[in-house]
Amino acid sequence: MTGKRIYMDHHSTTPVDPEVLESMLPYFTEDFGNAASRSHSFGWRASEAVECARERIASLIQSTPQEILFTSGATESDNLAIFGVAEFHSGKGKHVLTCRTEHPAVLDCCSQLAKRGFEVTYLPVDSTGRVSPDDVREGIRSDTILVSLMAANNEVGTLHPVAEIGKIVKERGVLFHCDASQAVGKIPINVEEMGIDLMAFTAHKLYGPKGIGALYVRKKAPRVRLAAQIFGGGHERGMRSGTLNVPGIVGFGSACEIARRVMPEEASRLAALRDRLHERIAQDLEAVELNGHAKLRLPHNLNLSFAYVEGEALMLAMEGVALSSGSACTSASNEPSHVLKAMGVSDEKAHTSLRFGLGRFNTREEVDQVATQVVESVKRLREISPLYEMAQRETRGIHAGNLG
Amino acid sequence: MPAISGEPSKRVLEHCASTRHAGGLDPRDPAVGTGMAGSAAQGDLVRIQLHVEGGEIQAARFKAFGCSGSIASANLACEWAEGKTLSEAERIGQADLASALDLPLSKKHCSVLAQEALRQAIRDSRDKAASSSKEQR
Repeated sequence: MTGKRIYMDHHSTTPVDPEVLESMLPYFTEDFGNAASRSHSFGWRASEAVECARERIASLIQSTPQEILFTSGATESDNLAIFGVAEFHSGKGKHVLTCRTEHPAVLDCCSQLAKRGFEVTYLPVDSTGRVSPDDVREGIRSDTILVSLMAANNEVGTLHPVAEIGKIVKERGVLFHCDASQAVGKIPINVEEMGIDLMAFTAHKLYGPKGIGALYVRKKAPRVRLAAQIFGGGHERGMRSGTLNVPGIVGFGSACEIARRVMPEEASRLAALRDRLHERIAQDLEAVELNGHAKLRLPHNLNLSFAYVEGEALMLAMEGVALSSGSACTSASNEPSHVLKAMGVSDEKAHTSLRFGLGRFNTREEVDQVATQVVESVKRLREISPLYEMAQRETRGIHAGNLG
Repeated sequence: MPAISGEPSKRVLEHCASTRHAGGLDPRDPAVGTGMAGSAAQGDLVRIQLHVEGGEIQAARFKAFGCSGSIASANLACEWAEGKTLSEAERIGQADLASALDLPLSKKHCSVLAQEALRQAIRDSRDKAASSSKEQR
């Protein structure tokens, strides 16, 4: 590896903000107490730190601290929300409504539910990746107990009309779970205005540590009841047993506090950088297409298809740049991204997709460097692509011969 | 988003960094045989072309739409094929390509495509040679 590495895969994870790390350190060594220890100051200090973090996290999403429940991450939060609601409310009905473009943390839970006698409806999306509120309205049945929809898609960044859907779900008296892993700390999230009853999110997507997440569980109007899935000590009001990850929780709290402070400025800075990256690439390359919604998407997301060039080979050609692709050259099934597929993107085009996820510490120089590398690499790979040759020949109107 | 499992092998990286055999030969030339394998929808499409004189492969060229494993497999297949007779080149097998490139099992299909494209090109070369000798008679 030569030169500096550039990280542009912030939908996958983010580095811990140094300020966040700083805040966590005392809780590994001096203040290492168990937050459940009621009999000494080590425990009290830990417990205080946890409650302070809970307040900071709550204030980022406009909930009360009592509605925040700590888990190991968004996947566990999704599991607790979906299985917890399904188990508690199965007497009322056994139907769950979700969407084809959800993260596997939701989709895999739903397919488990299907094995346990539940029925799951997977709503389609339009070509930009958005679910239609009308489809949600029509999809809710008398036996529907839960609607689970993400706030922002992790691949194409498309934002669902969450507030509108929250209203519809509420009117029908059904619970609304939202996986907001990609959205919290990136765009304003207000659980009241959005009518969200349960919400999964995690620290490591917003410059906090890995291994700590939260589930927001609404306390009033309605008071959401769910069955615990992990037992052993009754922590978190019996909803999630297990010794609290105090340093992680403290870091999560600091990360949310920073996000609340910097979000508006950061979002517009990253959107400008993202647009610069897109423009630079598009001005030097033909046949580049945007996947997702041009406006209603996360400010730091850019998902592009580079016709005639396979995504993995392209990522590899861009030495030192960390990106992600919707191609699936290594998976046994060789199935490309289920999200792009649901949006009606052809398999061939899905194999050519690249996801850029910009982040807090990316600079304009890095963006320009990545744009240059993308352009060079795509040009080089197109030179050795049989698809590009065929397309060129077609545009020149020359008979394709036996290669066609 | 489907993950890329692990770093590609050193050999794959070397072949991708310098695709010495990338390129095309004129398919209308009777001395050129062409083979294609795979499909764009599945994410891997490999074309191999051979320039054959007196039964010996003078030049082998490939074009590939596909992951690093496919590009490397096609490049190596061409490297091995050059200078060989068609019958010798026919014995270049998927397993040899895969082991020379340290391809993981998940990338086995890449070497399969290179083998398929090469064997098709050999068949095409033979067909063309047979039909041109008929014409000469």
